[in-house]
Amino acid sequence: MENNRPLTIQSDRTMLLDVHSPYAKECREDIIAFADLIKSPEHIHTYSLSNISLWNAISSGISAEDILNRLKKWSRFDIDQKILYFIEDQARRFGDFVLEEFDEKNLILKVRRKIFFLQLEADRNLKQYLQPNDGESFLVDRMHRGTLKIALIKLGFPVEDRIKLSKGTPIKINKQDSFNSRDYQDEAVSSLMGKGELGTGFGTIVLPCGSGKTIVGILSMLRLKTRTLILCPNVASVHQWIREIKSKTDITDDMIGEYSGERKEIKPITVCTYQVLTWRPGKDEDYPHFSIFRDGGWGLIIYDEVHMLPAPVFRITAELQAIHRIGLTATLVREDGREDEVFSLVGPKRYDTPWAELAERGFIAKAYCHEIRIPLPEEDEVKYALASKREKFRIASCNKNKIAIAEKLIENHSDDQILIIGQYLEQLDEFKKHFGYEIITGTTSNKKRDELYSAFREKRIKVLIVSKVANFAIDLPDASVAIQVSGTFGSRQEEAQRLGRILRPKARDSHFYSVITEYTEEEDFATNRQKFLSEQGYNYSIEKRFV
Amino acid sequence: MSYLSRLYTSSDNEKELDSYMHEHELELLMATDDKTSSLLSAIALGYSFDKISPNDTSMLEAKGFIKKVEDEYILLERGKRIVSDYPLFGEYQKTRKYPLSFFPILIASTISKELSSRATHWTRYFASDFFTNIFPSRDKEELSRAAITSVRALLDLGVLRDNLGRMTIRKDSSLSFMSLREEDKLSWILYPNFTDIEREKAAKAINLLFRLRGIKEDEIDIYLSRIEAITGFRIDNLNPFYDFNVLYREDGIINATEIDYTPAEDGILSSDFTLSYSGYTDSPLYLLCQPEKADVTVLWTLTRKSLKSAFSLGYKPAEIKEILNSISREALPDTLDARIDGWYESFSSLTAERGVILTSDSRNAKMLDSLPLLKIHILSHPSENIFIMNPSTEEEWRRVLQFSGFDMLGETKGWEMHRPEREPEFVKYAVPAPLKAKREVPFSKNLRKMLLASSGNKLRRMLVESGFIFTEDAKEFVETVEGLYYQEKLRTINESIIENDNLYIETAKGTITIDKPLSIEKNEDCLTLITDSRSYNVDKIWKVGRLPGYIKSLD
Repeated sequence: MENNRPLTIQSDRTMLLDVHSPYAKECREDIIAFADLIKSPEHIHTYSLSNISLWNAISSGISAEDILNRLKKWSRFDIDQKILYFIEDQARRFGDFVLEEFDEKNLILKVRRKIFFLQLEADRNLKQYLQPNDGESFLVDRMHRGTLKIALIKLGFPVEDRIKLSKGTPIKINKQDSFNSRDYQDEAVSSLMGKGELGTGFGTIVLPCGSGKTIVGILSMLRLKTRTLILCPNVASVHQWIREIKSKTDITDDMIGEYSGERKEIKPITVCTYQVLTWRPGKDEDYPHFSIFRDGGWGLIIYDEVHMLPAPVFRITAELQAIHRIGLTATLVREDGREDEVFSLVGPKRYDTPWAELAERGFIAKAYCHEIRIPLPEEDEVKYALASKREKFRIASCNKNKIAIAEKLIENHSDDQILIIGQYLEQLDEFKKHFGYEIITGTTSNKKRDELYSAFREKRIKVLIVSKVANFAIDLPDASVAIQVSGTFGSRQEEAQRLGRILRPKARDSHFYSVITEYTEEEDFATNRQKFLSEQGYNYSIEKRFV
Repeated sequence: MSYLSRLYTSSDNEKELDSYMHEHELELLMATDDKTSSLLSAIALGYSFDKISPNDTSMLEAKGFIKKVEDEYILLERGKRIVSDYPLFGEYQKTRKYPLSFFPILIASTISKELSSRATHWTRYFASDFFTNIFPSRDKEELSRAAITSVRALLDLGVLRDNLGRMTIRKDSSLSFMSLREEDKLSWILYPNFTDIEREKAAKAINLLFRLRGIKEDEIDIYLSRIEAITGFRIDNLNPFYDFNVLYREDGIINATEIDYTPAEDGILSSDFTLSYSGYTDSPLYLLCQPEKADVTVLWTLTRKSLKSAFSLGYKPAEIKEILNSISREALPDTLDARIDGWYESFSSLTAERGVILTSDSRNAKMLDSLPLLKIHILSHPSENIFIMNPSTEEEWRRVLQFSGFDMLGETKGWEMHRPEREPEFVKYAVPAPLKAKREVPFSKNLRKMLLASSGNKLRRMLVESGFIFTEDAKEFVETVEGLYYQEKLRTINESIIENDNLYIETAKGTITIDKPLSIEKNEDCLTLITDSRSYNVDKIWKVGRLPGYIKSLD
């Protein structure tokens, strides 16, 4: 194996895994427990060691010695002393701060060294959460458990949280005989739940769109058999979750409810939208629906599309540290850079798998990405030249020649179910006028949306025009072609989510077309948008078309 | 038993061995282990002789490196060669690797970041985490000092230059600089004002510095004296060598890093536009990519901006792809292939070129259009009366116009055009040199100052200012650099004959004259330049230059 060792460990704690090595799979299984997958293009996957990834590994029972042995086993070169020291040092720190049960109202934070006690006592930001107890410990209000842990992690102090998660109110739930999960879905649940020991039972699962993240949620529910609250980005996803749960388990209608703008049902399994939870009558008033979090007797909360978690839900999640929590996402890329907060509050990344690997195994569709470049119409050139940067992007995005290209693509894919996805409503209206296809936007009623989704699923309609409302969690099992005619500037996450609309496994390959105007602002933004997918190993072919 | 070992063990093969050594010097050096070179170095310097065991001396004798003469061991020719090329000071021990990617990354950072040429700006960049994080295993302050010293010297040497307030690079000069061995690069950076001879000595001393192993801090002076004894150059200040990571200290022990030229064979280009490899490459990636990380693996990214720099330096997509393919074990990803073409298309769809607008009436326009000597200076002829002329040859096309009767052409109006400073001599003549080949070097501003200070002659001062004279040395034989200098010299003489210009002539003996060249004649064994007043053997002319018409004499 000497020359085939697949891992290169760098001084900045990144690790490069050569996926062509015969030992790559074995190595990945060894390191995933204490390192985060950063990117996975076709040849080299990058992982990163951080204090948080190490603390999480240590909290779930992996020792520093074990981590070092695994690294030494797979490293192609000598490991920098700094890395070895870092791992040992982080392991030593774990246990300096221990959070335990105290009484009904409070928890107790025990501090191993006097100097840390003094340091925390003197910290102005922490004062509001800590009540000095006996010179070696503080009392902490249960409500502040999450917030305090985040604040301490930011100071470089990991907290060993020894408080067991609440089991919640039990419910009866069993799987249907016909339902079989896939190995990676089982692995994801196992890595999150562990054996029920301290330090497990919460975390984030990252899986590609179309690979069955919902199933991971359902498997967790089957394992915990407790009252469950599921949070989704929109009503279409709420309906999708309810459909999936009912089809995969023996849960009946009276056991599952929808809590949305349309219905307010609270049942043992409740599926709701982020939107309804974060509604409030006035800017300075409380969020009336937050009571659902506290009063539901929940033993499990599932955050679907956790990268969209709105700020108020961040806050309330900090109070819910005693409940099992699962974050599900395909793209933990937040353009606001708050990924760390998701990891801290919902839980660390417990499972992540390269998209290409699942495509190879046929669990998601093989997708071909194309960037089609077309010129700006001559009559728009002057307008474009004089416009502001933002306006330039809009002019380039709404290039009317895109209609002709879409027409040609639809013609070439006569046997496919096609989505036309865009950002600007007036542009999408133009497409609707030209083609006569149905359109779904933010103003389309939920009833109408469901009708159109059904018609599309049943292939009664072949092409559907969708605005950004369809970026997330719409269940379109048979879409195999997506034509993106405009997008939100350089959003990497949006591009990945849109590709996700056509990744559900099917008999045919999928094609994702991004139509852009050459020599314009749109070109730059397109390159940025493609970054996340490039890092997942997707290749874009660039084709020039003349209209 | 290998061929080399057989030769070593047989004393009958002296000639064969010498000839083998001559032809395979590099392999021989590679075959020499650190222990052998350490022993030979000790013998050569007369140090630690009593510590050498009889077994070791027998081994060295058997290999023909040393010989016993009157109870003392002396080095034989091949032993001396080992010492001169492969000495080792101290005791061999495992050491860190020298960061061979430092200079490529420095240059790439400077151009791909489009740094302002204001010193306050670029020094801040090289002191920032943006730069120092590229080398995660290095000390930030040392690294930053090394970078700032290097950029200053590279500006002075003409490898980097200020172009309208931004830092840009000269492609040829950067390629030449990067083709130097590390010790040569360091000697240019650390001692830019040295003469060639001094610098060569310094480079040798740096080379020997790289051979220090496990030296106690309080004994370092002894070793510096040994290096001085061998090279004739004393390194007094070691701090810059810590900054450049030639040396490092650990627990009171000084070690040199090891330069490892093992070629990178595991390069990988991915569809996320990154290129990674471990090992050494001489590919000019620094002119194409933006650096990301330099550690066990070196990581580059191709970006729109880095490719723009590459296109500006004259690289075409095919060349870029060839360079990338040459280092990657995987084929160029389709996305990248298409993206490079796309970026080039955007780059070439809009170009900017400097020009001087020459307008005339219709009658004169026809005449101008018919002047054959003017044609090469016309960049574009957008309408009948308008000619866009090459600004860099303004003196020449003005002369053509004057000779053709357009003697009333006034001064060019408008703002003074930004004139790039004259290319340093080394750029003009430099070719990508093999590692050990003779090389010309950039012109240094400080040297120019020294030359100006030592010259009272007006003409000579002007020629120094213009970069025409760049050394005080008048050499006995005319130097040729890969034949280019000689051709350049002949081209200049022939042009001045055609254009009827006066010629600046500096002979190998150092005499300077101005003369009107008439013809060049080929004799049996040399070329002869015939001028108004005498004839010259072209081989004995050190420098020539066409002079502006108003310069008639040396006064």
